[in-house]
Amino acid sequence: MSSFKKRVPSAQTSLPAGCRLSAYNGQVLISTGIPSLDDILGGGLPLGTILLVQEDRQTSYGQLLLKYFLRQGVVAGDKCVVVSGDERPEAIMRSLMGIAGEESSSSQVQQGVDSRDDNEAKGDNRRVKKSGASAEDEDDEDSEQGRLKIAWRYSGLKKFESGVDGRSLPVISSRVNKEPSSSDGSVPTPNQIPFCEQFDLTTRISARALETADTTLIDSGDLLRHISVNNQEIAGSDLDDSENENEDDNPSAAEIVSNQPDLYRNVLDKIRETVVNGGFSTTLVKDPLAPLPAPGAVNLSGRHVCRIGINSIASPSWRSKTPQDLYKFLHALRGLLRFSFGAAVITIPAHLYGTVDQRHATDGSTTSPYIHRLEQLCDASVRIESFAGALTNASSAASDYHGLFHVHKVPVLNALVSSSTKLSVLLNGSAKGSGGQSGGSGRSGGSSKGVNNLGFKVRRKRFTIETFHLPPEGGVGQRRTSAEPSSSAGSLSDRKTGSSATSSSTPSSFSRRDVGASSGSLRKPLGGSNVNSNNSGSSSSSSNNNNNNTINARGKVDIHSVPGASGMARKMMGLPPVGIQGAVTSSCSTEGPDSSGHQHVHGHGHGHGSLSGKVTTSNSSLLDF
Amino acid sequence: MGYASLEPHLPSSHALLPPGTYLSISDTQASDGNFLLHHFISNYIKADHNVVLVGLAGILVHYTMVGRKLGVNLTTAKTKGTFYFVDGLTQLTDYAAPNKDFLIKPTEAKQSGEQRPTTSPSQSATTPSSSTSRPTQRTATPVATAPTALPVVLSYSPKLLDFYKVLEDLIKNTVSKNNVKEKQLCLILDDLSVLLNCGWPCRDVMGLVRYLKLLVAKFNGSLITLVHADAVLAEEVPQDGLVKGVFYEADYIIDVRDLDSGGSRDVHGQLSMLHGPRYLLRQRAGHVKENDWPALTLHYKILDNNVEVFAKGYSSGVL
Repeated sequence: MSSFKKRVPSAQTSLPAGCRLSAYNGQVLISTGIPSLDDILGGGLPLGTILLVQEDRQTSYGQLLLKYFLRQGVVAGDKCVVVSGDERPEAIMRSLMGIAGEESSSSQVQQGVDSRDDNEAKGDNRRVKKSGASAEDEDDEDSEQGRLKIAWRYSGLKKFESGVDGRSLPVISSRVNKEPSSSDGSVPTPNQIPFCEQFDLTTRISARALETADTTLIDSGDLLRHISVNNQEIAGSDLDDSENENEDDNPSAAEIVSNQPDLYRNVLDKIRETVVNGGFSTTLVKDPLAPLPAPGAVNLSGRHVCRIGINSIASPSWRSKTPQDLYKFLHALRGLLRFSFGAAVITIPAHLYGTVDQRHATDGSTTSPYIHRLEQLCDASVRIESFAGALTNASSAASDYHGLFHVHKVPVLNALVSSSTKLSVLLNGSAKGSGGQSGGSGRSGGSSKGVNNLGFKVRRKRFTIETFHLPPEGGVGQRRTSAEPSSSAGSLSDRKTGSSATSSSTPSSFSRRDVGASSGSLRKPLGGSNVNSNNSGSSSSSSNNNNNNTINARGKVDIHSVPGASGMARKMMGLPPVGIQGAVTSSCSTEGPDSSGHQHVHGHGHGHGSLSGKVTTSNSSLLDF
Repeated sequence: MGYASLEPHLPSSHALLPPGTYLSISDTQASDGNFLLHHFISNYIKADHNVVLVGLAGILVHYTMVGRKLGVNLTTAKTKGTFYFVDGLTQLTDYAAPNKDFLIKPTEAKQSGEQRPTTSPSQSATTPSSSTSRPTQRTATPVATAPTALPVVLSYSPKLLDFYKVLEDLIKNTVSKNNVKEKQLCLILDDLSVLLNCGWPCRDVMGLVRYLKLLVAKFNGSLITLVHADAVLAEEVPQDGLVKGVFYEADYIIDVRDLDSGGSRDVHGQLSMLHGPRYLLRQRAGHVKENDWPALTLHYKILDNNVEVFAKGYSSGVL
């Protein structure tokens, strides 16, 4: 026949289900189940890569990311390999979330946007608005918190977007249109499987979905027990009786090492076995000398993807033979995955390896060397810092967020620059309204610079990562009644401070006033200088807390430390960006006419009884430096 | 031809390093120094010299794809015999070799299948010899589907010396195959830190570097290595020792790091071109031309298929 052939429409059809090609470098991507995380990674997690998730302390958002990843795999019909030591992998699989609108799909379709959660509603509202249906909008906006309605004429304007709407990307097959068809109960064809499904955290995965899911569960705890039993048998048969060894008080170090089960290696072998036997490998099954098939060139529609989720690796229940075990594990896993249709998400309780120094724990620009070296061996690395477990008082600053989201590394594959530099909305910040030169820090991942601070929030149907921004001063409903720390122009509040100091003439509080004014003027040039020594930072922030509490009761505006939001705060204050050193402690307090209250506050705040202005002045200035 | 704007700042005669020198590149996590390696790879390949690339952190596809963007076809270079890739990602550690026999053995090359799962040092001592004998076997067998050069099969051994021997045989083989005298050789180790991470002590890694340096100097070649030198890691003694060690051995040092002032969209980081101790020795001996390698600090920005290097403050975003 002639060599002319009609070109098959696109590679899209030949991709495995739930995959798409990167718009930048043609990499095959799979979804992490979270649209905004996909965005950060440059459209999705590339096949053959490892994403390291550094867990938060005291909360389990890290595991939630893992669950999204696995759940998306179940939707797409991928192979899911779950490795867990602390929790039974079956329990993790069983506790996966359900698909949003699965059980009440018919009513969902009829009601439209109403039953969606608020965040989703924003996205949909914009569309509905264009089509003219505004009644539902009103209902939604009333119920919606944190949405400021200034005047009707502004409602037509585009909303300031700090996050990523999963649907806004044209590449993602929009599920809204397909929802009626797929919810009819018809089995979705691979093309219909959305790149990223929407999940509902209030529901559990249906039993049917769990049955059909192709999973391999590896309980590293069981495995460890299994190995150690085997090892003991071997040791007993080969060397001596195991009892004999136990009696021996101090066996040689080498003996201990040789008897230690090599858990990581066994886990890796299990994973390798799954990958190879499941046909996910691109090299090992076939002739190893054949040239590598370029992804997309071959017909991949029959293939599935192997998703490897490892929960809390290197937690205390994982025992390693040598300190290098985990490094070698990751290195070999990466080598394995690069030649297979698979990707891995690994969560690690990084805080267990953190240094004692509190700064390391709170500001996130630095991690412990151990974790840092792990990051070198992974392709992407993110860190979750939830406010619940944070030692800072950022939670009071931004109540809509559940925590901060740090991106340490993004995958750079087959290209000089990472695709997220090109495509990511969240990482670049250029696509959306936030200013060009944000106070990026050393923690910005890959080569994508000018990074915004990111925060995440968990809604019922969406885990969103957004550009971290502070709420409007005082919030919407509680304006003027609560004193939520928010950042406004520091110079403005300083001016207020000065003016209130001069206007009030209560003699008893004169010295205090003096202090206020002088410290205010002192602070003015330093409004956002976030260079604080650790000690003074913590002490002043604690004093700020006290300030905050008392002032709250009196209904005054108070601007205080906003840790983690320093870049943002600086930007809002109109100051040039400075590399983030740590938690900002830019404290400016606005004093009202109530002098006694103020006096009390300062006295309390700085730990002085009431008195000498000079001393307190120097003190406060010290704190500010 | 690599990155045109970087070229004038390098000590290059026709875009190559002077033979017998050692360039050490250090980078940080936020600013990956990988792009410099691609620069040298493409330069050497374009000039039709030999390149031996040891990919400990990346696979061949990665380098090929980037090479394509830089206008170099590594696949044809591989066929021609000027480019060699040593896969250090899948075959480096003992973890890479499964200790269970669930793998389907490749039918064509039984020898390589037997070689792979070696974990004992005694057996791995035989690997170099067998890997050198491989090319003759390969050319003899008509089944050779892949026209690629010899796939060097690394096998784990606790001693890094075996790793060196594999490389030594490979390099000797390369040079003897196309024995044109004026051809230069470039040995690139992508990421020495991986060796450290995978459990080899710093002393051994340093020994490897020293051996390789002497080796390539014999064959009219130069050595380029990359290490991660993050400030966080400086607390660790072996890591710190490695960074200082490679700097001590180096003729030239390029230190890649992100800006002190934080990130920027137009400037991705800064390159510090530094003189290594060996350079100073050679300078004292009078072997170095004037202005061979001016020590200076530059800024860079990585683009799709190029890297812009410019003096501080001369970013296109500023001007």
